[in-house]
Amino acid sequence: MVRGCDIGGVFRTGVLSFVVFLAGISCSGIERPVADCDINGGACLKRIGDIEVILDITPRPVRSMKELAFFLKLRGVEADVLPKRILLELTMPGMEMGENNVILEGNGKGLYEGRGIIVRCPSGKRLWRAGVWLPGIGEAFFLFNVDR
Amino acid sequence: MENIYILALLAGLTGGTGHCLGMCGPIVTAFSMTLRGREFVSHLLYNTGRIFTYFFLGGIMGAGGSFVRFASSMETLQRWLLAGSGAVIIVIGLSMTGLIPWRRFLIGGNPAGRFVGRFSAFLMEERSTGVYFPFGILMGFLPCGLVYTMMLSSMRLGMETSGYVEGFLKGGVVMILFGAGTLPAMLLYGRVVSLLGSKLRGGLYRISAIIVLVMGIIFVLRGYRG
Repeated sequence: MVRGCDIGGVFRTGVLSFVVFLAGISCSGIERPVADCDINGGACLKRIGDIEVILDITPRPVRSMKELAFFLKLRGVEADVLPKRILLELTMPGMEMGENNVILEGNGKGLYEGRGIIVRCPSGKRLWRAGVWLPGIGEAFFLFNVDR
Repeated sequence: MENIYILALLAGLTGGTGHCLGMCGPIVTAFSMTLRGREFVSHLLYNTGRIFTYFFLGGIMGAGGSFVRFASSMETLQRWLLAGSGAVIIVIGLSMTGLIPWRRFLIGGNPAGRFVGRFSAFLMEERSTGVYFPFGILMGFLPCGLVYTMMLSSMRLGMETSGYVEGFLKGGVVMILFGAGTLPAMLLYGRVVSLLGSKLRGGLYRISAIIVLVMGIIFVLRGYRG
């Protein structure tokens, strides 16, 4: 006797697959990035060719849900090509946290400053990435852990 | 439409699939597994309540509220809310496994037992659809990184406005659009889990109950850890 198609079984399998797929999406941080900058220990330095990009955040320890001052220093850039302001983008690797940008205003001598807030993720994740795009120079990324 | 409104909607649409389902999924899963009829209306009311809270939060930020002060004043409430939600999810999970003989408690003479029985009965089957709107309002206050970021956007937008009312409305609209963006994923997920809950039998239902139970424990731990 030929068995008919088990619609219920197909449905259950389909629904379970969908739930597993969704669970996979929510745990999407498979490649676990690690901090390359100890922001609580001091300023962090990245190089774009001969240019040095230094990020500092105060007060320390750097905590989420607190107002923070962000400082960015560019070394080795001619004064006439220094951008007036720089956008610092804060993202959490492996977790969609929305657009959180800090505008850093320059002093004309390569030092930029702005205020912002790093939000807290209730999942307990503390790794954040600060990215800056410097027109005509390049980009730099800093991966750091916040204290809480 | 200003750029920030589009970004808020997009943040909801993209975040709704991964972030919101990861964070709010356990709550939706727990109540969806026990829904008996009127699933879509229940989910719609729950999400409307959640978006109502977002509007309120965005409005406060837009009207000149301090995010840091607001967040610190809400922290304790949010931790209790997270732990409380976890406790409710645990009760649902236990009831689903059959480890809480709540039907027997209902007819027992012990007042504490009757309370547990009534509470479990409420969670498991005796709910009116109208309950989901206030439930959504409450759950809208759950701590969520994506919501915090959108609140910051509302605050920044409010700074550019000339008055409290304009700031409140603009900040609120940012959050409404964000919440609306999360709707498709949340409604679809709720619908799928409700269907799953009504189809599962025997061993699979008990496995789901254990998953719900684990989710509840994670929520309680998150609330405890802060």
